[in-house]
Amino acid sequence: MKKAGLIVSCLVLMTAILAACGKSGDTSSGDSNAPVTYTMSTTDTKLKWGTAVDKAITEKTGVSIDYTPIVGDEGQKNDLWLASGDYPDMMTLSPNMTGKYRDADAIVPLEDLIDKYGPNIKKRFGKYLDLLKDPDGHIYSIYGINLAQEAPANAAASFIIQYDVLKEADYPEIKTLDQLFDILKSYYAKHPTIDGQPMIPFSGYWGGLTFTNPVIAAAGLPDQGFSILDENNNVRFGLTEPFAKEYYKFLNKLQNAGMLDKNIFGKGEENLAKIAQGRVLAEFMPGWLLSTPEKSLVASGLTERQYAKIPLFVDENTVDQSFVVPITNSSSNWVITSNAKHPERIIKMIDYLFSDEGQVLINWGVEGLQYEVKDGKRVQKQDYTDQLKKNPDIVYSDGPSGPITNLTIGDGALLDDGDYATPNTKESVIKNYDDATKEVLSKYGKETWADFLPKPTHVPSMLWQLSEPEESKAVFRKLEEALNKEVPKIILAKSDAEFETAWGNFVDQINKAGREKYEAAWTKTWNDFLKRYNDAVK
Amino acid sequence: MSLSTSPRTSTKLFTKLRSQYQLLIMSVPFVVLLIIFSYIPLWGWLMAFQKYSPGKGIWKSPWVGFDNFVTLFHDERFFLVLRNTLVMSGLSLVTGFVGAILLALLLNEVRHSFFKRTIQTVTYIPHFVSMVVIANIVLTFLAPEGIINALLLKLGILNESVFIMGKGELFWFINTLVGLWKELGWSTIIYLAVLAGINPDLYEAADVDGAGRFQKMWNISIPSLMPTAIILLILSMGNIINIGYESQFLLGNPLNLDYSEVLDLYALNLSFGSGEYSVGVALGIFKSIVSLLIVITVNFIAKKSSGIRLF
Amino acid sequence: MKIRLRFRDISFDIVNYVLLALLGFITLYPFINLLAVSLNDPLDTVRGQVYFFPNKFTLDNFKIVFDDSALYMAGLRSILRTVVGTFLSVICTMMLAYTLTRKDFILRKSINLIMIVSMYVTGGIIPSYLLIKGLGLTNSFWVYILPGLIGVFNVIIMRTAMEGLPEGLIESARIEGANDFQVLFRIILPISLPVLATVTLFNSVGHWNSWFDNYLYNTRDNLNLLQYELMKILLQSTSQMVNNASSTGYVDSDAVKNVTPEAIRATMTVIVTFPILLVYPFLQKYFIKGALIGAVKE
Repeated sequence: MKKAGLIVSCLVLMTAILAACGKSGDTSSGDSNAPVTYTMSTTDTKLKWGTAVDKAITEKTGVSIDYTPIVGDEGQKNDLWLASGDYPDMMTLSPNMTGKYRDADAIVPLEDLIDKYGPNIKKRFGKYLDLLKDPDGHIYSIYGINLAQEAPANAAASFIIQYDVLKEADYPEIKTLDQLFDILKSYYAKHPTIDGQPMIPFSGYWGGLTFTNPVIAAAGLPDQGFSILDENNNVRFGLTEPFAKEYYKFLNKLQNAGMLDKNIFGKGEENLAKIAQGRVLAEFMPGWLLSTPEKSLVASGLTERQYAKIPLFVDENTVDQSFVVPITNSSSNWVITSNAKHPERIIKMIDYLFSDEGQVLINWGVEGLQYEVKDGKRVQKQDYTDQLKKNPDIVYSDGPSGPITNLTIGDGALLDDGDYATPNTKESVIKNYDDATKEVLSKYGKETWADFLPKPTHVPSMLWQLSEPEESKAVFRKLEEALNKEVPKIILAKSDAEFETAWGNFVDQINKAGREKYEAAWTKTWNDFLKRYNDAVK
Repeated sequence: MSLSTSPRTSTKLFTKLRSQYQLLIMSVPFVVLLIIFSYIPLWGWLMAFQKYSPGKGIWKSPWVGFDNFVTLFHDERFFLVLRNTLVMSGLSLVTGFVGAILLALLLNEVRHSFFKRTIQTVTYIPHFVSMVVIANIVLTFLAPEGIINALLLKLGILNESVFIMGKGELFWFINTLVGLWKELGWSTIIYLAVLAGINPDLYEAADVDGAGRFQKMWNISIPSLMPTAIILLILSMGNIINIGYESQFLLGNPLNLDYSEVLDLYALNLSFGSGEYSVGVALGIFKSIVSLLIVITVNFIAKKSSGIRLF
Repeated sequence: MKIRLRFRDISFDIVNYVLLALLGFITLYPFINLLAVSLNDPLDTVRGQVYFFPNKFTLDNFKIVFDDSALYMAGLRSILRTVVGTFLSVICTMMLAYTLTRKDFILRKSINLIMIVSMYVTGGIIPSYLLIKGLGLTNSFWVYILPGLIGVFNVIIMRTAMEGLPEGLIESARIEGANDFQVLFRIILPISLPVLATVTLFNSVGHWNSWFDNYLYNTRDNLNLLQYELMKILLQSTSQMVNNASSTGYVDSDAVKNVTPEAIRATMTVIVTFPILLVYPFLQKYFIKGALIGAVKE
């Protein structure tokens, strides 16, 4: 027994020591440039303050950030912090969560601080400054603004077609899904297998990427989730429109021709695997998903199985209006919580980030390390981009990284010195293309995939940037349910009659789920926003 | 003591307390701990009657009476989801229960210590593999181009490969098998411990009587397992409604949704969709009440029929 | 007669061995697959054709994971948590379970009730968080130990096992004047090793695998556990994919390390499962029939 007691007390002692390490001090200062540290939540777990960029910021403003990582469900953690008042000094929150924090008086209103300490913020936002305001006249959060006049050079359409398919069809101009169907069909007839495995003319990643997003894209409309905006600024549920029926007909046609992936409703990983094997001829997949399997293709030497990113439409008269750029980057918004002492210090730092000097820091980095000035223009340093290719993690040691990069004024925007604010330029994008890609592009007389896109239109906001209206929340779930249940039946219909029945059924279900309520709620939200927008911009 | 109205009973109680002070030391602190960590948070149940928002807290959130319960029970989907939950729970309860006992008995009959240890270790490994990985393996095997389809085609059972996971009716069985595969080995541990604790004299005596293997199993091993088995059965009956949602979520797809959606997944969607805790808490209360009713009933039946009880 | 019996015996053995071997194979497969994935080039794994052996052998996945220096301290903390937590839990569980086997114990019924009900009710995440915070347990090591000190399931398992012990043993000890502590630790403990091993196993696996309390209650790096750090690496590999979409030009499509969540997850599982596989055989001997002959016969 004595022995056990000894062990217990040893263990207790050890743990007490461990627990004691957990406490940390916190001092802050109101002096204008005295060193001060603020806590900030982040979901990027590798983030540590102390990169070359961070140090430059601290040197200028005295402010350092102590990142508190969130490993797990961000929304849940934010709720817990809110319920207990434990939140960090600064956070980046979704518009919905910002609303929750605002209602709990957990956020410091910023308008007076910006007025006093934010000359650069005011300058950048210009006439859009009032856009930051909530209906109650307060500014609760701040975020980047898109001042660019041209498309980001790395933008690309999400319909993807294998290079080899285009090559064999002798690089035809294609605009419609029917044209795609025809070239897929003839290619598939000639090459039913690859490496002994069946080819898959058309596949899909998962759920919405199979039957929601492409529908809207093929109508040439901007990605607003389920919704579309008509010319009278009414929000409509988009997936029961005639163009949606046409898109589903396209999938159904593929299905009945045996050209649709047999596992079209399977899980995404499997789809990625098939792409990486070079078996998928075409599908709808955004670039961020495609990059891993495409790299795998290149690594296995299958460069001709990479994908052209070309916009496609349900019919050839479609006008492509899909490429829109919202004025602001509102989606993960920077807030200062009531736990922060001397919030003016933070605003001063944010203001610095919006200055030319700050923008160069958060977009380009530090001169001599990440970029150099050649012929009066900033260019990324070759040795840095090479290093970055080998080890992308150097952004965590050298920067720029973390939420400060959200405060950018956008790719393609110009600073006062007449040079680009960010290094995402046409040259840098082209430099990363391989020969196969350059060849395909040259056949179409283009330089980048972005060239296939129309000029971007600036819009006041995207629907998903607005706070979800209370009344639409429950309906949304039901719409999603109906969509998930009914659309597969439409796509897998064995005959035209069955297709029509399934379609009719789907429309009924959507109506029953409360489409009108959803549309009315969002129309109101959108028009309320527009009114504020117009008042602000006037 | 002067305060007491009935000195005799209180003295008796006091003497008893005094004589059992060691038992009190061994239990009261832990029960206090249990009460603190399990019962104090139950004030959270109040949220079910509110439109709770973490920012406002329990004091300032508006009260809505039984609205959240009404929302829950008025949704026709609720009952479909409840059916799926109960069916899948029931299936895995029966298969898991029988399977674990059977495996424990079979393992117990193995004489080669090395073989026995190896199999035992190997069978519990899937318990540690995350469901994401398991689901991936299962989906790969069952895909239209997967091993299972290829096998069925070769054997001539199928003419054309089928999307097995698209057949809603099969989902319940696939999910049950997957659960069995993952947890069978792990759940035998308790039974093996009980079997290891059986007095070897009993087996020796049976040997002397000329009893065969099955007779020994039937007359010694199984009866020794019974108390533990029944307790575990009662406990898991109480959890029949707490099925979790991980495997259903990972194996589910739009085509089998009507069979794969379970209560916990439904609640998750509900609180995501509406961004509220209150409906989730209401469902939690519903589940707690159902669980406790089941446990009390099953416990009563067990007590009457076998004399074994949980409490 | 005897020969026929033996024949039945042997055929039973054969069937039994074959059956168990088959089961062993089926249940080992996920782990073999994981091992193969963890040792395979992630970009090759994306192609989805890894089954038993790696196609393109590499140790990169392990290198990436072990590259994280925070991992080692976190590993030590996890071990400490597992050892301390399991040790305390098992002792406390044992004491509580023992009191419940004493039919004359006046609190027996109430404690049973309190325990059982606690298994099926939960106040939810927010009240629990506020409680832990109110008790000052956030950002402390004790939050890993105290809330889960008593696992009701384990208490019930142990109680049931103790009830099955020969009563004469305990009775005679008490008549000889042994107090409750002596009865528990001198008489009951030595003959309860199988169930003790079971509860130890359950507790230690629970401690070893848990990361949710770390995520909820401890935000300071110097309290992070192994599972939590591994989770971070996993999330990192996922967000790297998504980062790719961000348009700052810094993370363009080539400039991403060849990490995939799938490969990292496999590697993680191998890393955390290995210690369990190593420790298990030491506990396992208590599950083998006949280990207790000495104890009982005494």
